[in-house]
Amino acid sequence: MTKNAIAAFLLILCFFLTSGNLLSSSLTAVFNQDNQTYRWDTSLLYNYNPSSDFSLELSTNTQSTLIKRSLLTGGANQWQENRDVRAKGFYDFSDNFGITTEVFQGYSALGDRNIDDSEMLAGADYRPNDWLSFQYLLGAMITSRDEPVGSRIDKGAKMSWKGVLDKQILGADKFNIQLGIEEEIFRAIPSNQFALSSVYQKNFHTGDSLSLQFESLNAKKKYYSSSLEFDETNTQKKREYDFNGRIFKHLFLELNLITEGDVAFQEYLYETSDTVSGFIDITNRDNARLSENIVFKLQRIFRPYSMHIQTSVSYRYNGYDEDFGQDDRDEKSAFGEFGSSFTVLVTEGDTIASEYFTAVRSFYHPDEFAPNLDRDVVSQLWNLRYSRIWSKYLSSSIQFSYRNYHQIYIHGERSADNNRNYTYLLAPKISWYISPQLIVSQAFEIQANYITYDYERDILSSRNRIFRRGDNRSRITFIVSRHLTANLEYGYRYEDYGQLVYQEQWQQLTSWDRRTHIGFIGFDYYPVSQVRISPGYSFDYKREWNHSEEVEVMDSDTTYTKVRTMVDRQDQRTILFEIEYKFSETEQLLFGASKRIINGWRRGYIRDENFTISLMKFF
Amino acid sequence: MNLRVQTIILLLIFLLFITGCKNPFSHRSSDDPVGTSGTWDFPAAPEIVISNLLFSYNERNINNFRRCLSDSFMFSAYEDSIEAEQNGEGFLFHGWDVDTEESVTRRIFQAFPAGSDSVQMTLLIDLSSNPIDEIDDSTATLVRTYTLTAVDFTSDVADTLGAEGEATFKMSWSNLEGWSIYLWSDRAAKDVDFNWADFKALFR
Repeated sequence: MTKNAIAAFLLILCFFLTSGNLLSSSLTAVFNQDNQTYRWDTSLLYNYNPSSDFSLELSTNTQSTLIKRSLLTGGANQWQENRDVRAKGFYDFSDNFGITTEVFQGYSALGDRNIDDSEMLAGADYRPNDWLSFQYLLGAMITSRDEPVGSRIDKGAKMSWKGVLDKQILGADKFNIQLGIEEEIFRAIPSNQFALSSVYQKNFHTGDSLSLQFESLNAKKKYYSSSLEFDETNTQKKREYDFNGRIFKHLFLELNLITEGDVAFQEYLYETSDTVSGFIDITNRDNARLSENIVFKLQRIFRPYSMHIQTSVSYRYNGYDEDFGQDDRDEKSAFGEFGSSFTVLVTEGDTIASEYFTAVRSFYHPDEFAPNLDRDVVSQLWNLRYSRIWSKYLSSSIQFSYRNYHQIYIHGERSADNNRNYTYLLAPKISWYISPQLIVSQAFEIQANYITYDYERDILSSRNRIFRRGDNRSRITFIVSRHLTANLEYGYRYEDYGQLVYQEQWQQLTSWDRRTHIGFIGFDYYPVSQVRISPGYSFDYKREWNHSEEVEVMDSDTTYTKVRTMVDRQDQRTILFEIEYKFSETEQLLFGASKRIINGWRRGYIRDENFTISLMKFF
Repeated sequence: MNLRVQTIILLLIFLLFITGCKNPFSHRSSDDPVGTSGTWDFPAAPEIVISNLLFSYNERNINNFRRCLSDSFMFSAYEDSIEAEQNGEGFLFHGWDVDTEESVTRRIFQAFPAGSDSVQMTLLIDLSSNPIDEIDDSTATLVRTYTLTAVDFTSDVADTLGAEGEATFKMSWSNLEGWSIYLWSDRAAKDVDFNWADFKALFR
């Protein structure tokens, strides 16, 4: 299998280097290696149109992955291979009639299991006029399955019929109905499906628009119940319906209304020829689901005092009702969300943007399971951002985010877990173009996550916690010449975590803190304009301390001493190297490699390598 | 009908609709606690996410479980996927996102309620770190071995399922939520056919 993969890779490489210009075709070849896998991916899409009445399409995909044996559970190296080739030919005898041929060959394997699929179809296209067309295909199929316990071969016929009506009726800009029937006639595992879809779209002269879409699928298929028993089969019956629409309408007071809606129903029923029970009874999978999703959004643009203010408010509802025919798997859910946003262009250089969402999702279950599962999840999110362009050399921004995630179990059996997770984030950033050769940027992030349990506010030994994090990043880009650019980065991060105690106000008892230094130096060197060589070096030094308290009792005095002990130190260094060669605007070769060394108290000494080579060509 | 009338009618319909929908400003009140409390720590480090996941599973706490996953979460089980494809039920592992994972886990929790006399489920994860782990500034990959045992005492002979394997958790850092899992891939242990992904697939 290794030989096949390498041969395919080399074949693609030869093709890549020798082929001429071909319209709307593409070629990609990638090899990647890390400490768990080796992977070859190649794909080719080739279109050949020598005349207006004849065309040929060829597409191939090859994926070969070597999954190395597990270091934890053992086993053996395994090859996973997927290859497929599809060729289609079209010939039109006239504007109304043409013929089609299609050949497909697919191969999929993992270890000692593999599947071979072959398909050969021929058919006719009939177009009585420019808004109606019919296509009929008939052919043969062979599927061969090789497994450790033997092999199965299924031979049969495939038939498909498709009708398309595409006419601008009922005042529509686009009106389309498609009807498709497909049947695979195998002795053991036959399948059939009936699909119907339609689209209606209309744009009004006022700028309003309406779009409606309907899709349905009815299908039935048989499949083998197990890879060990060759005669037993299961049957899946599937029904899927989806209706969705979108309205855009200009309203009074320069308001715009956007309304979107979607209603979907899916039902899957199973039958088995086998006698099974308990966990693996396939009829346990019988299920039906009805879901709705509706969005209303109002937009308006204001222009007071030469400012530009874009505003919107929205409401979203979605819900579903799942029915498994057994109470122990059923669930209903309803979700409501209110949203609002505005963007103000105060001056040419000053922009303020804000968005706020508040939502509640409720889950409902049959009475027997409600005590453990009935719950609400409340979430609120507010993002506020101010950005200013001071001059063409200097720009800055500051962002504030707030999020509240509140989980509420309704019944007493679970409500002890009800808690809120508040997150506050402040992130200022500045970018300074000191000169055309020198760009400096500086970013900070300060963040705090408060987790408070609803029923543990006044308990001293509670599960209430706080996580804090501060991050600082400095970046310098120095363009030495048009051949050489240097990138330098340094970051420092502080994190701590501990219990929150409420004594008139929240106080923190730190249990650990962690400090990290991050650095990178790299170069982009262009010896000629098509070639980029990028060496780099990065480091990540991490230190972690635990906090505890020593208690010393002397006579009637008790002394508490805070102790900070280093519990982990980890140094990670990485060397990176990348070469990119652009043969032309549409052809590219990329080679990348990295080597990493980790040395830590907890993780020990680790060394790993990563390697990637990729070829891309667009014709 | 002029624009003003149309607007008023539409706004009235909008308000009528809103009053019948879910209120985003109020939630249900809860009863005072009578049961035991769960275990959850702020995910300030990737290792804490795994211990949160372990506790949430054994305590059947779906909220705490959901908080271990990011919104862009995907579940993958390549060995089981190819077996499912071979049987013709490849759909079983397709598009396994965060909503699928949450509802599958919730159904498992419903099927194996905490403290039940008729069914039991216990998850064990080896929480110790190992050389395969990769922890960077804002991304991490942690590989852990696990054993999951489910027992159904309702039949004459107790029906037992044991899953054993290795789970790889890829995580990312977000300021608002801390560390969370965005990719969970599962692999059976050597010479073991049934793994966690197979068990979860029974409830999809």
